[in-house]
Amino acid sequence: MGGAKIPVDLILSKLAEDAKQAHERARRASDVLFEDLETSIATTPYDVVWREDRVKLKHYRPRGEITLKTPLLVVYALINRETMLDLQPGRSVVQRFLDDGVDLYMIDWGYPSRKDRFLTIDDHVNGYIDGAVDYIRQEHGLDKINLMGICMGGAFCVMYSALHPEKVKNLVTTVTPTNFDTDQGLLHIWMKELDVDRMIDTFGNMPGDMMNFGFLLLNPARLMIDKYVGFAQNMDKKDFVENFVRMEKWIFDSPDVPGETFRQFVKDCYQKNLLIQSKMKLGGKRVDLQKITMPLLNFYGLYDHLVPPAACELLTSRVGSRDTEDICLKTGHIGIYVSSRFQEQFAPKIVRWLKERDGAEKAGGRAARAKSTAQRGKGTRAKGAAQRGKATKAQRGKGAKTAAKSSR
Amino acid sequence: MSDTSGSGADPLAMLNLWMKTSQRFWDSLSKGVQGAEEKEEEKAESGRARSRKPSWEGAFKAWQAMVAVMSKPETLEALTRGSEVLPDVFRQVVESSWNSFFTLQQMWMEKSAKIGKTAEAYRFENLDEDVFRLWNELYETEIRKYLKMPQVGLTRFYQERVQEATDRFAVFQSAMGEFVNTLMAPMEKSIAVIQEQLAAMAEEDNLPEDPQDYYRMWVKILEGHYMVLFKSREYTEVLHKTIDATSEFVRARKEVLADMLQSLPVASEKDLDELAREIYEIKKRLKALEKMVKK
Repeated sequence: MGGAKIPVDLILSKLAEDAKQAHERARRASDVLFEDLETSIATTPYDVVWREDRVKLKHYRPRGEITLKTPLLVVYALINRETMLDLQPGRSVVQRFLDDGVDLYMIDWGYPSRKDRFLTIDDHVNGYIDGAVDYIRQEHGLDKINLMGICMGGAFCVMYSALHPEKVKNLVTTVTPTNFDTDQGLLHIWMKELDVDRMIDTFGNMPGDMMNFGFLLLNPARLMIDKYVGFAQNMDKKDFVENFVRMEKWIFDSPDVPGETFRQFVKDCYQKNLLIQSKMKLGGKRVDLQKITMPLLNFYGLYDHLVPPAACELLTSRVGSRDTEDICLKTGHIGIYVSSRFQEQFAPKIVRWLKERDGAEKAGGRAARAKSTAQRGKGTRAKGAAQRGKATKAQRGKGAKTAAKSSR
Repeated sequence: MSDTSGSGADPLAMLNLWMKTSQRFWDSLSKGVQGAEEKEEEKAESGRARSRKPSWEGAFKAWQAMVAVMSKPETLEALTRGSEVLPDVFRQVVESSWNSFFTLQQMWMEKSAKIGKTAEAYRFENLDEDVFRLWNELYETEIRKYLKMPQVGLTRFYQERVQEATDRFAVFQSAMGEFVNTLMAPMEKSIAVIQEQLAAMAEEDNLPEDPQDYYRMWVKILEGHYMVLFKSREYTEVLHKTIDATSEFVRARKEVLADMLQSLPVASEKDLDELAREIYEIKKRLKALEKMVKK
């Protein structure tokens, strides 16, 4: 350190200034924390139109004219709750969809109890999701509906679409893991050798709190320290505190995952990577991704540490559909849904994409695919979208995915 | 009063004998532990090895001092006669205990001053696991055998399950300790790195003026260390070991609880699980039948 000058006087005076500010902030914060705060989440009105066991189907009340003929069913993951899509007015994917004229349904998985421990992925996909889809089809007199899945819910939607392609018009997957053979994400590394049998035999269901602790451990410096330092620095701002508490409510509202479902998901997906290889079986039937012949829009986050790009981007190359599009946003796992900035790109893009495919059935599927095989080169599977003048995987070339910047 | 001469059991002699025997026992144990430690230290990397000798030595010295004082004939006489020597004994004991405590405190001070010096940045191999390995070895060779002793009699199965739960709890505690220790390592390492960075910045006359900048630097370094740790093989092993130990402890605890519930008019978890499985299977069959009827 030799003759180097250390600005001790400046540091100390800044410290003193900070201490004074902190004192003032604490005084104002107590006023904020003691007054009535608006921290409720998922306030957009809806009706429960179908229910089976713990699972409910929510139908959101339209906020204007419905401009999309085909209703959209959103399937959230079994981990955490679907309330993330409707955290607060003005920062709600649900409201954006409704404002854009989408007839919106969403599955609420509820809170599994001990009696649900034997429910398998088959029960969720071929039981609950199929029941909800059939209800909507019947209610609207349609053969097919639009399906959108989030994270693990997206994987369920992929499985469903492969097993029931005749009921799905368009498929949207967001931050959906389908390729588990990657070391990009910590979950993928940790799950590889997890003794899931021992865990589930002991706990019955996978405890939500245990999973939440695991998620916090993915980045303790940020999620257990920096986040609360940020809160302490801003707790005199009412808006900030309200948003922070809403987020905390969502993050720590973590239902248990039915034991057998968790066991199968870890074994078949994380450890054997069967889904992307079209080798996974549900209810004795093989989940063949080539049977996904409907248009597919696949969103994922470049900085997603839970479901990294490598876990998502293979899907479009493995399905049977020739109308596929990958969109990689420069954000994390939940930034897509909760950041106002990304909501502006994400929800309108989905609505536009669905509207472009909302007409009568086009000649698609295998016949059309066979016809287009000669036209496309290696990795070119975007004829449908190209005809509509959209930027496609083929046009963008490898690695040049649609991208936007993120603050998260 | 009572005549002890005829019994041949002189209490003073017995007390003296016990003192000497126990001193010999602790001496030999002390040597054994020291020997083991030296062996471990030889194995460990020189810069990383942490000596546990002072704490052992302090405790032994305190005990030896006490025994030495207590073994003196005048002390033993004082014990029986209640003479004025006793306060002096206590004074010496207190003095030696205080010295031991002081030594221990000094050791802690030294350790806290060394924070960040003992750890090498961004390296997580052999994470001080020697402490936990030593404890595990000690537990498995010296303690566990008592819990694994075969049980006999009418209640043997119940006793066995209680002992199994005790054993699993010990393993769980050890695994959890190791896990927490592993999680704390990046804290220590990040301090080492930030010390180095600050020294370099000071050399360049480039130290931040805003204290919050120091915090931001530290969090960023800490985050980097956690990422390196979490991707390491060592962490994955410790994580799985902890999860397995937790599962095993919870399972063993549930079995003890189920035994206790037998005497109460409540259903056990096993009963409820069996019932839930039956309902699940009936519902599944019912749904399949419903679908068939609809078709």
